[in-house]
Amino acid sequence: MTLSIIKPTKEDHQVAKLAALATVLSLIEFFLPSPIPGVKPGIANIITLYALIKFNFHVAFWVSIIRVLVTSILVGSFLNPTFFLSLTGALFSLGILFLTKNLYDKYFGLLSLSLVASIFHIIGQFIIVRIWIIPHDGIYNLLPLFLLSAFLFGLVNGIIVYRVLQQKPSKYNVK
Amino acid sequence: MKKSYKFTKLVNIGDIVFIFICFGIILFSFFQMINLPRGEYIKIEDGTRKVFVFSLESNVEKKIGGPLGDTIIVIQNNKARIQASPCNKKYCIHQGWVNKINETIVCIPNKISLSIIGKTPSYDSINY
Repeated sequence: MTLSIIKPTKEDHQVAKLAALATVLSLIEFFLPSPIPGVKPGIANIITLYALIKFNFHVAFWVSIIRVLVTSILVGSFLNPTFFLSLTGALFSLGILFLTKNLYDKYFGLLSLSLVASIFHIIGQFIIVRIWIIPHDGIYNLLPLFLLSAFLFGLVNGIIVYRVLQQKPSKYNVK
Repeated sequence: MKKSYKFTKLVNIGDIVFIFICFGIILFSFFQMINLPRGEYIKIEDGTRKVFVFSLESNVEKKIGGPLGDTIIVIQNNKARIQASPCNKKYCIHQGWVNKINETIVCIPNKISLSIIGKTPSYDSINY
């Protein structure tokens, strides 16, 4: 019998660290009270954007998917409608990031990256809600509100990612 | 596929354009929400699945009987509302006037619902 040993690469370690960070942010956000149900700042997406900018799309994809899975298991919403909503949102924002990732740095900056991700996050969730959870046209009345919140939080998250990227590594940083 | 971004500046020219486009779309969606198409007919259903259809242009005061008593529905000036209802919480009365397509008022205790429909009946839900 041969033992197969999985050797984690350097990229795997990066994914694990970033996914752990994103999960913690996601959990913090879960316990924060929100004035309107469904409107959330989405601070975990800061980590996804950071992974995309600092490393590559591959890392960002796995960080985002692992974050959704682990958070749902910890919170207890695995395979709930909530879980599918956050998974769809994550997949939609990753999809639009994949399609547009070559445009940044050339024409657009960080703010557009963050905005496009957050807006497609909410659009993906809306499509799922319309098809599956509340199949009624009445929910389109909520779309402007959610788009506005996605716009504002997308801008704020973009600024935060910019500030994080400006940080110099501190001396306490363990390699 | 190793690709890393620089992002030395927070805001590029493209960002400003994109932010304005997004803001425009959001304003447009708010505007669209206010100006939904007006309906033509009103469909009233009671607990026994009896359906009444009225034109919104008619001025009608209709009494519909339910398990608790009579609900009075008023159609006036292309709008409709529930004027009086025997239910406890009176949510149906507080909803006020409706006149846009797919707007509904439901009184669950008295098993009465009314919804606004357009010229051609649209689907209220599609499921696979």
